[in-house]
Amino acid sequence: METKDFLKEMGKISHISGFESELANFLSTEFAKQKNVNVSVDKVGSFIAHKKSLTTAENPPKVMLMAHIDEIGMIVSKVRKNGFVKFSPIGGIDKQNILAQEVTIHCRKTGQKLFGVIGIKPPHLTSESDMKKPIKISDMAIDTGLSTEQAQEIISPGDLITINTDVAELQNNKLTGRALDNTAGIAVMYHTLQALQHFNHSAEIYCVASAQEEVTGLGGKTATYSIKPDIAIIVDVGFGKANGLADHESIELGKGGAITIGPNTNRKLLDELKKAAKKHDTPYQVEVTAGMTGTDAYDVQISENGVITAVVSVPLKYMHSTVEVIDVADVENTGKLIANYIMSLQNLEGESCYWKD
Amino acid sequence: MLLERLTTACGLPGFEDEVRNIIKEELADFVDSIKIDRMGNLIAVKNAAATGKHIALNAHMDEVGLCVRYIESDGRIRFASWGVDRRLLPSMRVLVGEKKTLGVIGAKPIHLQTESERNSTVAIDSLYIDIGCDKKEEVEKLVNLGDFAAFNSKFTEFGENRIKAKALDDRVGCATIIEVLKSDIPHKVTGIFCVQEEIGIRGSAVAANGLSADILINLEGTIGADLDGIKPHEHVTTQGGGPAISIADRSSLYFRKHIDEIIAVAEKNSIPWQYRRSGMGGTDAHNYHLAKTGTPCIGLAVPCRYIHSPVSTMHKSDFENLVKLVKAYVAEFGGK
Repeated sequence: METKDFLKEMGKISHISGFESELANFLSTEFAKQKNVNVSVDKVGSFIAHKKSLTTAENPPKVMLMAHIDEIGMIVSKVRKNGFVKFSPIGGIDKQNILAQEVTIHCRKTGQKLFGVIGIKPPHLTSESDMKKPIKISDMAIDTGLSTEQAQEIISPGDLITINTDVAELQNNKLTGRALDNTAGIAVMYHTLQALQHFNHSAEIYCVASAQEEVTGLGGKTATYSIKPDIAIIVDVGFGKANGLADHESIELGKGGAITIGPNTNRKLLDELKKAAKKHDTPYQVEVTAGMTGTDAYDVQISENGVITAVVSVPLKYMHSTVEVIDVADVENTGKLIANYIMSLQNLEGESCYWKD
Repeated sequence: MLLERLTTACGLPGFEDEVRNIIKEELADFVDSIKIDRMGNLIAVKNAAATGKHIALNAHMDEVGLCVRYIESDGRIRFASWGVDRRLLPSMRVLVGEKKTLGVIGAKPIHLQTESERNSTVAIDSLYIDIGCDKKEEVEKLVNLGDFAAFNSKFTEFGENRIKAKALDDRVGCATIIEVLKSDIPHKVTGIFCVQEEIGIRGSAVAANGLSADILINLEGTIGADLDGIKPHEHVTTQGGGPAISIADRSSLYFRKHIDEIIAVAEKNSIPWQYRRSGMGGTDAHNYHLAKTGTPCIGLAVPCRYIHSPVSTMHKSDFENLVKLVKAYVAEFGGK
């Protein structure tokens, strides 16, 4: 599947933290279409695609790519009178991004996918000072247009809510939609495997779509423990330059994946990634994160005996909104960069080589 | 469905062409004449030669939205707002210009917002439309200064007999007039579809000067605030409660005599009705009341929740009952 179509398909599937199975199933089908790839879903809901070493090398290096599978979303907290539904956020929802948006309530009782809108009190009834304050999520309600009885019958507390936005095309190969954080990262892994399909790589490759990154980091932590990789490359999204963000706090769309420099990542691995990019003329950029990266790398790096870890980010504008924007070329170039790095790997001569100059 | 066709069309103030063309097409076989005046208002007359009481019906074709104000060198499109609540702007999808190029309005990520940014609504000046171009020259191939940016919202039926769409205010009024003019009535009825209501009832100022009718019924989508957490006395109207009849708003005081007439017609025909319970807002009726020697007006409306947003909603029965009520009024008082 073309990268664009792959992203559009993932955009149709709800995959809120803790409830990622539908997307995991989709990934199982799609990744399994590639040669030599075995797929599985682990007990916490992470998706794992394993591609064996295709050389006879002894002790081939184990490389784990990881992109989180979950998206932020909402959950029904109370069904009120006249078909109004109160809700709570799952993950870092920005209250200012969800007003007057269309939603689907995934009703467990009936299996229905119910349409609703997040309503807003009209400005005519709102004081000038209240207009300047964002509305709290606890003061919002979803309007289902149902009667009190119908709503009570169909909807229950705990039902999940996703915002209805498809992944749509903007100009210049850009896509917009919800949850591109982090379907973009999953698409990078998919593209990496595609790029490698005609090459005999010596590395054992694991592609993990980790569960619950947006809430607890559960899936990244447990999958790393069971795979025990030598090297991990975390693929997530980074703040794309927009909204007047300064150069030092953002990366640019269209300039390739951003390799993160900082204590959460391994310097030598970063150099190797850069070397692979330069050799194959793949665009990339760098970003500095002085503290933790806010990605699965936080847990992966210190798993068991420690993992040599890198973070590569796809630039994305308007993060955690329903109008996130990415450049498809950045996804493909990041996939290519990682594929080229994997091809450059022969054996590790002990992990400590990653501390030599 | 007529209402779907009308709400899918874009008709921002000064750009009502698409809506006007649909109305023209819909009415062509049902009226004696269709005239478009210098402002762009469409005036359709049915049974022009009929004698007796002449009833006029008015609705506006335009909708709220945004207007392209400036294109930055890096391709960001700055906009002005035609009546859009600024709290709705972050995460909005819009269709820009006559080519309807998809654009998005995104806010600064929550991760990077300062404490004060988290606690105040985003100012229009810090927002822009992003169509995916990073050069002004690329944007200019698709978008011109002064172009409109309309809500990108699909007509959707949902819930119990509800519709969600953009621009229900006032395509529901336009649809009502079309339904009435398509019906078999022997009396003289004029349908007026105005431009530029949303930016200060500009179209009807001219249409009113060209009209000689005995009475005018103004048809609107109005505020429905029967929402969770809002006290009953602030509801203005109730969805599903029937057409709302105006007593007064900011720009008109409706004559009691005609309010009583329309209520009597509703009661006689068992059509549910409600009062519009707010003095807020203003409509084209203002201009008809004041123009020339004055045309008395009746104000009727369909309750629309989240009016002026991409997701305005209405109850289908309110629309059906509004059409019934207007037809019944015309049958009762037309020609007399």
